[in-house]
Amino acid sequence: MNFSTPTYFVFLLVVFVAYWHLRRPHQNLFLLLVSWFFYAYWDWRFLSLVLIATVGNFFCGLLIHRARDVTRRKGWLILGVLFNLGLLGYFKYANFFLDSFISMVNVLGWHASSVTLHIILPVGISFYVFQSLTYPLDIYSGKLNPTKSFIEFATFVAFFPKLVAGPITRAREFLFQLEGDRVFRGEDFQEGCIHLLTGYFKKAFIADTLALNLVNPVFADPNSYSAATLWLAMFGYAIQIYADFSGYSNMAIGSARILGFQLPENFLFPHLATNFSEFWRRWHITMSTFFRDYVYIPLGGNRCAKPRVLINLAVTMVLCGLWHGAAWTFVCWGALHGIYLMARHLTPGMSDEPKNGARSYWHGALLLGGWFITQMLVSIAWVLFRAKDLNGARIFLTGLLGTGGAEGINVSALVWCCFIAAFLDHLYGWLVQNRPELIEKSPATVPALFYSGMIVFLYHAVPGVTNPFIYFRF
Amino acid sequence: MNHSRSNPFWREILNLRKNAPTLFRTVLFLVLLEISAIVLSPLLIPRSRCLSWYLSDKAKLETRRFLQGQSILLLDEYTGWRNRPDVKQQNWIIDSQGSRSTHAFTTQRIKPIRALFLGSSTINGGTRIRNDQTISAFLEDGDIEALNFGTMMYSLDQCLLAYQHRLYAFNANVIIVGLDADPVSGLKNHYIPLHFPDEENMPYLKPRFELASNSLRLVTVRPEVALSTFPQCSDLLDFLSKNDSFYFRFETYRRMGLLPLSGGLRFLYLRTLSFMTNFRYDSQDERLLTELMTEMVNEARKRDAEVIFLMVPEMTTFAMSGVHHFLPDNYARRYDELRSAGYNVVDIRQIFRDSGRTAYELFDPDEVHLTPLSNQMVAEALRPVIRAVAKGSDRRGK
Repeated sequence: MNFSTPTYFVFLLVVFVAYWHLRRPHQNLFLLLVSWFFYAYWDWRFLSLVLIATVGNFFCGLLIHRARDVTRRKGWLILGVLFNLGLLGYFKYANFFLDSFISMVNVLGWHASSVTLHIILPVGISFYVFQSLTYPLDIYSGKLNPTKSFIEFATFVAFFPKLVAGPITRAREFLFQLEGDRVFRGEDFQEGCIHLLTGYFKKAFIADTLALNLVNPVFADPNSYSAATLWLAMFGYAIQIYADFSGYSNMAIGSARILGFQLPENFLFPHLATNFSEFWRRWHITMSTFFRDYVYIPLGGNRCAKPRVLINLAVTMVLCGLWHGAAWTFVCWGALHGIYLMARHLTPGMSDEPKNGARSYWHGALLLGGWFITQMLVSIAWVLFRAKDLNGARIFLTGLLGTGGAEGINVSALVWCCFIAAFLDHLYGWLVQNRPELIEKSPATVPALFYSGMIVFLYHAVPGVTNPFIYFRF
Repeated sequence: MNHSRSNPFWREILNLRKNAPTLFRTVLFLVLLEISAIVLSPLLIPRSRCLSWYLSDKAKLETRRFLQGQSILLLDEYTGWRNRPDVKQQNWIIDSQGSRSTHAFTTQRIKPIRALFLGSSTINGGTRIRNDQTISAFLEDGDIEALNFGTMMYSLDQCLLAYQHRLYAFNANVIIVGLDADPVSGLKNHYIPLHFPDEENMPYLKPRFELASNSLRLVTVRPEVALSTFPQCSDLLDFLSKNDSFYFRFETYRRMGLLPLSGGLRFLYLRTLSFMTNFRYDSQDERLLTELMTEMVNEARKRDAEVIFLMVPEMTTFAMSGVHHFLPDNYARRYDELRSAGYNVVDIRQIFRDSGRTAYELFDPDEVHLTPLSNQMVAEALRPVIRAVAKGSDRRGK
């Protein structure tokens, strides 16, 4: 059930009304059942995988908690991690590693015939496996006590707004919300509706219009297009993927909010970032903090010698790339971001806020330069993410230098509207950060006028074709 | 109401003005805007401007391409449009005569039976199957030669006009005319986008017949004139307001189609209306259909030919599952009436039901067109009927 389809809105409306008419003891069970229905709507067979992940992690958490000594606790944790990574590895990476191994063997001169396992990638496996994994990890580190209620834990794993594409919510951020009483509040409802509206606008208008009219045609045949068109499509994709995924996250957060739950924010206007560390503090925040807390810091984080820190960064980012998809394009995308972060680590202080709070023109210029370089390099990295293979990425990247064709693309007014909308979105983000008084003092009429205009605009401008969310593949 | 107010959920919902002021004002602004639009838009916005908004960009482009002769269909003075000869697009091959047949032919009959197929894309096979997978192709044997002149979106009135003016020349002795699941509504329509708003590939104009004092009267329209100033077509809209039974769709769009809330209401209204047609079996409309069928039979008999009408169901008409199970079966009623009135009618739904096949085996994913398997089954069932009818036609010819 795609969030941007009428089916989902009808589903959400029914769930919303029914949920708030149920008594507290039945609410969690109801959420669990509708979440399973939500997942089964795609393919009921893979619901068993969600159940396996739920049962496995629930008992793993209990066993870690009850273990008497550290060795046993560690043993159960390792078993839990292997169990989760095993699920992910088999369903997501088996073919990738098999193909890569066979290619390597062939390159070395031995002959191995290609073998393909017929494994279908279950929707959202990377998300729900990671979310479930936080449960044994947090119990092991003493940050969480295991829940006694299987229904609460199963609801945490399957909660439909975050089930298939996040935000990656940790057990300790969510389970306590399932334990407490819930009261319907007008403010939550308003916040939820605004998140749903802005999310739908980003996805259905910005992301889908850019995909349909600019990005898809150019990425399908980069050889034919001029350098200027390729640059435009590259920036178009940077906007598209932001609008697509942050739109999804907004809708997920909004859906949870109207049901009385708070999910963590996932995006903080990433195109305002003036360096790569900041970019990762603004982009897919729940994933980057997951990798920071469960991979980078356990590897040693910043508290080691400089060469080791650089290695930690590289390893973390390659794994982050691989998490996105079982393909070399994603590995290279992650590695490239690893290089960016290493470069950032080697040049500390550049484009940071001045320590004494005084701003100068020189500092302003540095920030602007940092912003330009960061956004440019991030956009170039997205080519690897979008290309169907490494050769396609190479063709596109060399085409940016003018080696491709001469064909242009007829950029419609709607496409420019998408760029303007993305600019306005980030302008709002900049105001929230730098001139919060302007936002806080504005009367409710101003945003209300803006939102009603947005709804009218959406009604006329949304393309008829709905693309699936990009992050559903992961 | 007291119960509602005691529930905190409803208490909060009813107090949105205080608890969610932004949301409340957003809805308020929208409602005010909607009411203003419903009242003012017909007064302030010219109809032709609304027509331009009513049609999608693709529909406007296709209209221009059609008028400039660049479409795969040609403008036809009698029927509105016809197949362009010598067109090949993947599965879709139209020969030099403008037909989707599997062999070359002239006006001379080369086999004892020449069957001429008329109807819409359900008869010519649609774009997803090959020429050799159509009903006409499966029908061909040592005795029967089949010419497939099915044309996209044709209704019975256009079949009649095409035969009267051009296709009689092919000297067929059996004419097979397809009647789609709803063969009546198309007879009351001139401008396709009014009947099928989602149809953006064929936003064309067609003539239609109307019943005037127990006889048929042709109401013609010349697309090249009516659409010459497209999309500024005030005269055309005047004409359609008097002659097209689906003009109300455009009129509701002018008042309620421009903004989201009223647009939603309009959508619900049109869906309800469309659902209600299941309960309406208008004898006047059915008379228009039977008059045209009689005219078709008479026209064929003038040329020593006989007509067989093929009733082609859609997937929903075939399966009658879900809510359709409880709705009146207009298809069966129409079949019984046409049969008792003496027309040669073949009930394809019954053939499909007798086969025991599932709807997914018989229908294309669009739920309208038939699969090659279905076409073969129809051809096999049709063959003995054609032979019997052809014998009658030969006797009369002698």
